[in-house]
Amino acid sequence: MTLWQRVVEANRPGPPEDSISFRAASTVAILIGIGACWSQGELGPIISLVAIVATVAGNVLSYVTRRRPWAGIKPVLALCAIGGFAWFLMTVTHGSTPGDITTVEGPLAVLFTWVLSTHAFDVPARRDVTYSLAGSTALVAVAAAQSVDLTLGPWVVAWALCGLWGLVAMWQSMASVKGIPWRSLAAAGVAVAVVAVAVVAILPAPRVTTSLVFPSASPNSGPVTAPSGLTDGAGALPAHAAAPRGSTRVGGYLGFAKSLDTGVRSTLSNEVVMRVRASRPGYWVGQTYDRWDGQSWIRSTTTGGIGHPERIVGGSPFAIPTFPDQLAPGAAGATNIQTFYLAQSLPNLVFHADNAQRVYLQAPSVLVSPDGTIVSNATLGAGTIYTVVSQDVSATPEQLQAVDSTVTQPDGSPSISLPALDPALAAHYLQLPHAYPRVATLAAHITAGAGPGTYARVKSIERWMSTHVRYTTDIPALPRGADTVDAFLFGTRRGYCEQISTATVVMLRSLGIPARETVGYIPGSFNPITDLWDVRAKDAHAWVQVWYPGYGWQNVDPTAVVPSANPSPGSVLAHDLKQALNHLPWIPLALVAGSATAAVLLFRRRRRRPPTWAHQVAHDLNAAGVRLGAARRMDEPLTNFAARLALHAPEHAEEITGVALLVERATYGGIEPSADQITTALATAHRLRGLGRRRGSPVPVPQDPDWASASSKEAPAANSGR
Amino acid sequence: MSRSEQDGAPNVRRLTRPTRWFTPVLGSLTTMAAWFAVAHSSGAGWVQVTGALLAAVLIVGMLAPAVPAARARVTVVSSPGDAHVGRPVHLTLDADRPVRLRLRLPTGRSIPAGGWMSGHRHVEVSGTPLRRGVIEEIIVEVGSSAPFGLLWWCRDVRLTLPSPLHVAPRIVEADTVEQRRPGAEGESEIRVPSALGEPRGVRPYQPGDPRRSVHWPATAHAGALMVRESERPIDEPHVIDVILPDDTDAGDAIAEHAQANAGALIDRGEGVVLITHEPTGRVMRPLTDRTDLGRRLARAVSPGLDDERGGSEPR
Repeated sequence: MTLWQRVVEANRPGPPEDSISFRAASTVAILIGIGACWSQGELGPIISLVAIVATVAGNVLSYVTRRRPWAGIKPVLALCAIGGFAWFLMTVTHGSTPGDITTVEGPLAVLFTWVLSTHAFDVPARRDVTYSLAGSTALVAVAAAQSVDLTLGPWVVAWALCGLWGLVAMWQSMASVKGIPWRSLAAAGVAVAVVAVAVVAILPAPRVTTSLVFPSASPNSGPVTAPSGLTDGAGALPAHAAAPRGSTRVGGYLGFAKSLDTGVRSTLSNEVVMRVRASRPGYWVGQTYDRWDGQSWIRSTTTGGIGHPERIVGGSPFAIPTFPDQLAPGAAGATNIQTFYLAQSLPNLVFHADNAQRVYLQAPSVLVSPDGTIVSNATLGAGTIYTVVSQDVSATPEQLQAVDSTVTQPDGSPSISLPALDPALAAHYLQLPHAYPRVATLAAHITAGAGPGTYARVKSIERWMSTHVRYTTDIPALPRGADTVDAFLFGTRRGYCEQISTATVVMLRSLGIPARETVGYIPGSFNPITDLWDVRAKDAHAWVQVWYPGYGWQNVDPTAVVPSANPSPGSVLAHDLKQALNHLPWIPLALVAGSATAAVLLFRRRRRRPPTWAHQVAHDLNAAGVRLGAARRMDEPLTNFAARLALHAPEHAEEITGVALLVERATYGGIEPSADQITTALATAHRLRGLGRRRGSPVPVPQDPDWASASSKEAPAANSGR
Repeated sequence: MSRSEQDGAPNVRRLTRPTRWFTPVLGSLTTMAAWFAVAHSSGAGWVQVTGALLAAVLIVGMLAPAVPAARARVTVVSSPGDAHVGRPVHLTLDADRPVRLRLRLPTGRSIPAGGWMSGHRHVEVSGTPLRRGVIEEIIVEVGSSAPFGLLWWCRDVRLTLPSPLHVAPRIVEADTVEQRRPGAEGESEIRVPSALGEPRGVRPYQPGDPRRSVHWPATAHAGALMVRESERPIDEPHVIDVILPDDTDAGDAIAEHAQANAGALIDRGEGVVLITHEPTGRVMRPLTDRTDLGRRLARAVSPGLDDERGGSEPR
């Protein structure tokens, strides 16, 4: 056979597929795929509608003509496919960014939809229907690639169920089976769940390759009217701190402004403000504050302060400069790629992990301050996507301890082996509005035994915070003119991240350690379905950055170690329980539990199974008796019972007495029936078992008076057959 | 199973194994690879989750059929007693679950044992014997692709037939058999063995007479070889001595030939005595009908085989 003949043979259409169920499942799976793409914005409503109509019509036509498909349909469909590919190539060539797969996925969805909709007109055989069913996975894949939230969930569940339906229908068609294999499906479903969890758990989550252009989009952005300043997410208004009263808007944390008033109290919502896909979770830095006036943090962007921002132009990606105080030659420097998907309008701050190197953002330019704060000069509305590539400079505790011993001599005199912070900059980050004598005394007291090293003193203050301070957001507003740090440290010692971090910064500055206030978001909660970190408005946070020689600015979060104020016993118990549950190996436990349950069920099922064919026949007859209202009595011989049962089902009297006689002969007479007789008896008894289902209410029948005198030793003992 | 059937017997693959696995496995691997590529390029969690689900369905769907294929119980409900080479023979099998059945010996095509999910079901399968002989057990391939139909898993089972299946030689055209001429007894080149009929007397030995028919007392008395002569029945039967060579194909051809000629004689109402060699020894017996003819020839073996088995006495 030549190669061409082999190809022709392989493509020879199979027998026509008559299963309507299989076709329906395949068609619905494609429709769900189209709907999923539409829900993710990859298909327009008109295209979706046309594709749905074409798919349904094509499948109906294919079913009607399955025995005599139109001979010219294949060339037409081939031309349609070629045309679709040509359109796709032209669109991608002219309209997409090289290497940016997100710009390809839209046309790809249209291409898949086009191919599947046209293919629907030529699905006469089982193999064609199977291809259609498999093709729906392509649509779902494209939709899944674009989804960043759980709204795709219902589509995926519906598609999975439909796929399952289609596979079972295909098997029913292949095996000429009627009915649904519930037991097999249940077992297969458990196996699928276990394998799927194992695949997710065992296989590493694929990451975006660094050779591609990272995603960025700004569908709801506009120019910033005051390019040098911040805007809030609602529009182009100049940045300002939110009013003490009234809504702070979603994500409207008070700190994302030119100043942070720590005397203002606000409540943050639980809404998701953005989702982040990152190589590693971390603090998403918004901006830092350098000047403290006793109640508010202020960004002093003038000379002598943080410094003027540098405008970076040229379009995405923007290369972010590294300023001298950010240099960290001692850190490992692993790359951390973060893609931010904004769910709400946010300030035009470009959040990022520490030490951003490149920013992929659809904006004319960005402003980069010497403290590392990045500001877009386009507003960042909902739907904005940007990617930041950072070089992780987080130092380990051992490295920072080593800095202490390197920089500071045993006698406390400074060493010069590592670069020191520029004196002017150091003085700026040691700024205090007044002397803070009580704070300085307290800080000196806390760090008295820690030695001269920065790290040791920072840890001392952290430890003190963890034992002397309680976390709560339920604190009264600070009176106008009062000092936040004094009120906090020498008052109730209750507060939240702003008070705790501010007090830490002031204490560190009083000790001569350069420190600054930083605001942004904590990583949020990880969603294993979307592989994204869901950042909510309540995840806004303030923490401290401390400068270390050789490692630059390092994050310190004293709030993380501060316990809650007056925790109730229930909340403590719940917290402990949650911690314990979080540490349990759920996947192995689930696997073990599932296996054990399956083993127990299997064992019980085997135990319940009658040991011989005679037991099975007797068991089925008993069941028939129960259904017909003529249950077998405890000491009633089988033949007597069969005779009584026959009165309730006269049309099956012969069969009932026949199988009972067969069992009795085998049990007591030693007359072993043939394999065929056993098979027939089993089938007959099984059929008789279902009599009551069809007969309805039982028929009253006179009692057989002879049953009591009959032998009571009937117990099937034949051990052949099953 | 007779020796002639053993020559063409297929290998019995008792182990449950996948069949025609290349395309489904390749397709599944390709799908999973494509999905992984999409997941890698997009980094989307949904792609990973749905990909894991898809991979699980494919893996389970391709492995799960091994269970019903291995656990299926199949028995023979009924089978015919006679068949011919090249002619399909129909058997009724019983299966305890939906499976696909295919006769491998005799060779047949796949038949789904469908119907409702639970309970036993009878299905008629057909196979075509390719060799003459006696089949006492058949080989059936039991297959399943439940519950997703992605891949078939099969195993072979040997099933004992309720009664032996005699596979007679292939049906061919008969040679032209010369019509017996009345009064031509004694001139026939095929002499009737003296063991047949009632004893009548003795006569001189003629070339072709069997050695066993020599009547030694009469020989001593006459001084020449004398043989017993029996009274032939009026409808003196034809005698066909089937001597099969060791070569199977040649033997089958001879058996076909013998069947055709003997069958033609039977159809004409003439008596036929068939001499064959069976595994138990040499058998010489008048034929009653075509069924008897087929069964005798189905059991017939080469005399060499007969000797090897130590059977030489006629029945």
